[in-house]
Amino acid sequence: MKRMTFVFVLALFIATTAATSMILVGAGTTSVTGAGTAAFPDGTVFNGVTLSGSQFGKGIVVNTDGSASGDFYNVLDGSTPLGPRSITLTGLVRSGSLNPDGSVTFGGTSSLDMGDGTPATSVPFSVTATSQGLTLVIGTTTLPTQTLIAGGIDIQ
Amino acid sequence: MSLPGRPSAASLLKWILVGLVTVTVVPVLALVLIFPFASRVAVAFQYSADVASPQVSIVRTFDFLFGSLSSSTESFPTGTMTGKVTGGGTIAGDGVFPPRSRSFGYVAMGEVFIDSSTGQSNCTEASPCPAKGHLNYVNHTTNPQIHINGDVTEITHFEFFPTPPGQTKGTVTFRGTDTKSGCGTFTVSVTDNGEPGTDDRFGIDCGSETTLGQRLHSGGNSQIHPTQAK
Repeated sequence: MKRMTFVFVLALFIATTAATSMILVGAGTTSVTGAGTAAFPDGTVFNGVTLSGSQFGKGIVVNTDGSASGDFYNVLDGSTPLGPRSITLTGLVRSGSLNPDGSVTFGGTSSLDMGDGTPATSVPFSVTATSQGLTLVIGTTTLPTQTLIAGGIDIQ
Repeated sequence: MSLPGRPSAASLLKWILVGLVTVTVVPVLALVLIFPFASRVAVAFQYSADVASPQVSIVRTFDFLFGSLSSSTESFPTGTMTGKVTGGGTIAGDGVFPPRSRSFGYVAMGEVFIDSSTGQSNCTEASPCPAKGHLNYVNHTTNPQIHINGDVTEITHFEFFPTPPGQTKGTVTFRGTDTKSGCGTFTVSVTDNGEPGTDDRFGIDCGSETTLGQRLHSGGNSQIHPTQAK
């Protein structure tokens, strides 16, 4: 009986210690970091801007309960008949999940600057990121996948 | 038995004047005498800590002054917590390098203890706190582009600035090992001066790749998170 009690107390101690450690060091989370440049496929158009390439930076922590925190920044470079145009999306990430194929989808609210002199607007956004690129959804518009050219995207 | 007489009009006027002087002149005198002194103390205090970031010193001097006037409304998280900092964006917005010439994305988090009197953690250069996370950084101006990529292993500085409720500001320095460019150990220093990041800063040193201290973001955001990671 004494041995059973000892084993029970020991197991309880180990479980409590492990759980506390996991909470404190952030185990059970997935981090997504990335920086670099990417390219859109030919013919990509968003709000009248023909997009060619992009620049991005992101640092996000996705939790197992579907919550997430972090930052996503994406400049979409392109042109209009009037000349070059850059669209800037700055997003605060609030939710996310690790997908079965190893990609990560995250989203939140963003400030979208169309680069045409009009004030930036607040729009929901989401991103599905892999190590090869990222697919951005602005509002209800899904843009073609941006394929990584330089830099990297790490999912851990 | 005699009853006390009603106060005369002159006596009443005298007390009203004393009251007015008390509530107007005294606070003005206090401001005139204390404000310049507080400013000098704050600048001197911050100068030693932020020599490389004068703009940070100015911001924090304002924090100090307003904090001295309304200390009850400004505070920072304290105690043991999982300190976390995340960021994604570009530098430099301060003219040192071309805007968007360098991209970054990072996550760094680790257990820290925040001192309730200073807002600073127990993590130091000599005694760093174990940390996890990752860094991606690209210098787009070189050919080939320099890509620094590696895990975060240590936090050497973690500090919250006093802020009103609902806000978080602070500065963090973390280290790790690059596995991509061969520059060795990277040291990243970031400052979150509020949302949405227009006044935030990012700096990196890794071998010969350096931003020469913290540089203003030209886009994106850095966030210091006080809560425990789930």
